[in-house]
Amino acid sequence: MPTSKNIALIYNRYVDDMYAYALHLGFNEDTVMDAIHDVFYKLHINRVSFENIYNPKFYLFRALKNRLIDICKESKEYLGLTETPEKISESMPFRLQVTIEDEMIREEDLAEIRQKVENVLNNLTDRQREIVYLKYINEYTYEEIAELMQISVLACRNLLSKSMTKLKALSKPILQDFPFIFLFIHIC
Amino acid sequence: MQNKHKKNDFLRFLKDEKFIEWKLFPSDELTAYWENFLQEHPNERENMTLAEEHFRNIRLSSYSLSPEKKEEAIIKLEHSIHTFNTKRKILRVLYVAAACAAIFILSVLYIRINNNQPKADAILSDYIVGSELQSENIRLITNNKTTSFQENINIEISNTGVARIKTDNENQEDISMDEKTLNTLIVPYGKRSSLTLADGSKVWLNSGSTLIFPTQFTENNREIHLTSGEMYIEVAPDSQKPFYVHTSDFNVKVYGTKFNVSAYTDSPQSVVLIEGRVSLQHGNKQETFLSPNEQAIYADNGTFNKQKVNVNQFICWKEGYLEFDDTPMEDVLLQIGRYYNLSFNYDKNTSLKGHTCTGKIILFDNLDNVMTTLALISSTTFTKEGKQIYITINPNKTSMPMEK
Repeated sequence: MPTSKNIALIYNRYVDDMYAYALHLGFNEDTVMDAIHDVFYKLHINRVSFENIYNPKFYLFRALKNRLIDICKESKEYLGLTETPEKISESMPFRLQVTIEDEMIREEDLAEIRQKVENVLNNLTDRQREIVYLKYINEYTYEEIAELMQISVLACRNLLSKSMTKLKALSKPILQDFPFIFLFIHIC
Repeated sequence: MQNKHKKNDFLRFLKDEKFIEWKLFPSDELTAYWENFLQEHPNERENMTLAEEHFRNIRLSSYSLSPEKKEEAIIKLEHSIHTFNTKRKILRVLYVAAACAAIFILSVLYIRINNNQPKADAILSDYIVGSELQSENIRLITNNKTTSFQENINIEISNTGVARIKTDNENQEDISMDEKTLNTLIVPYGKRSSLTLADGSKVWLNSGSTLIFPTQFTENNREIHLTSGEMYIEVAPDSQKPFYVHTSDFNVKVYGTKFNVSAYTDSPQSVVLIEGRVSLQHGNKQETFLSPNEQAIYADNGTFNKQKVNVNQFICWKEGYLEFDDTPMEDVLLQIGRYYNLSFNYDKNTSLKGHTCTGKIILFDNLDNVMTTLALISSTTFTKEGKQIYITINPNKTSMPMEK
């Protein structure tokens, strides 16, 4: 059973990632902090031992997502709608924020790069962006992502490969620009 | 110039969506594409490595919690957990307490049932019938005028001969009393009253009592008459004026003290001394002196039988409860009957003969609660039908009272 001191330690270690993930899912800060509080409180009540959990961070993400789905459900039931957790999970937005801090690159170049990365991300669906976020930033496996998003592993792979094909169709081959570069170098 | 441009060539990669895509989610296809590109343009390897390094500065998520907020959230969490732990501890204690209480009650019941088994052989009649009697008012007779009260009252007599009467409901009434005639306070069964006399002595009157008292103590002696019933009195000390309590059987001479006088017509009259010193006298016979914690019971031949008693049992009625210690069931029913104005009728050879009762009964306003408690501590069962109350001894294995 985790003592309150242990809980504080675990909280400190994972709260930032949980906080960011929930904000990306489109919840406001107060709701997010309440949801995280509830997750850790429940851990204590249910006497969950962290020594037996293979990947604590994944466990916490899952608990947090379940809690957020419940919160959605409560508010939707309040409005008189009833939805399954899958549908709620499906309908949650997922927004990413692109920031670059690089002293070596000039401001206007940074703006252009940011624009390009945003283009890439904006052409994805919310669920695809969520996969990108989980895979690229949190380094989760397909199996973990599938469980978190309540979809099958296959569906998860398909979602990601679809996002790839979409991206490929978008991007112009870089080579087209290169002859111009070589020319430019030669002139100088 | 060429160097400068070369320096910024890696930016082309960062601005290429295919490169961004490859960096965000590398697939075999994209990896093959870029490896192929490097083979065709080997001099771009340096730029690409540089672009890859700079790509790490691109963040898709910039949310982070301020240290203050984090601290605040942890404190909140620890508070919630602490509250929960405290609740859990209290619950655990309650569970244990409930379990202990259950075991205790069960064992008491078991012991009682076992104890009662031999006595059950003597069972003759099956039950006792108690009936609620017509409720009467408390009456105060002064100046040949009678004032009635439906509720218990508390009377205080001032030096000026005014009786201030307070009911349980905090209603207040002043009655002026004649100094020459005696006053009578009649407390019927089912009611109680208390009275502060002009000298400051305090009297508690139990159910079914009649007390005659003067407005002022003008004589050389202070004298009151308990014509029937029971009273507890705390006499204000006054060495100049001895205090006397007269009953139909004897006189109590008081030397500054607290004591209880019982003068019911249906049981032997008695005095229990709590504090101080009193003497009892029947007619002109010899005085009997009582010491604290002693009871004197009047015997018909004009003498008294003295015994040591637990005084609390005799004065607890004024505090609103009754205490019994192996008290015969008949006495118990008599006391409860007086308090609630009930009449219990039973055969002389009742099954309750020899049945005793030990414990305390809080004298609630609600008779049902009292009967429930009585049933529990005397291992009887009661049923109520209208104004009639039926009490039966709990049946047990050795004999069934109904078979008689």
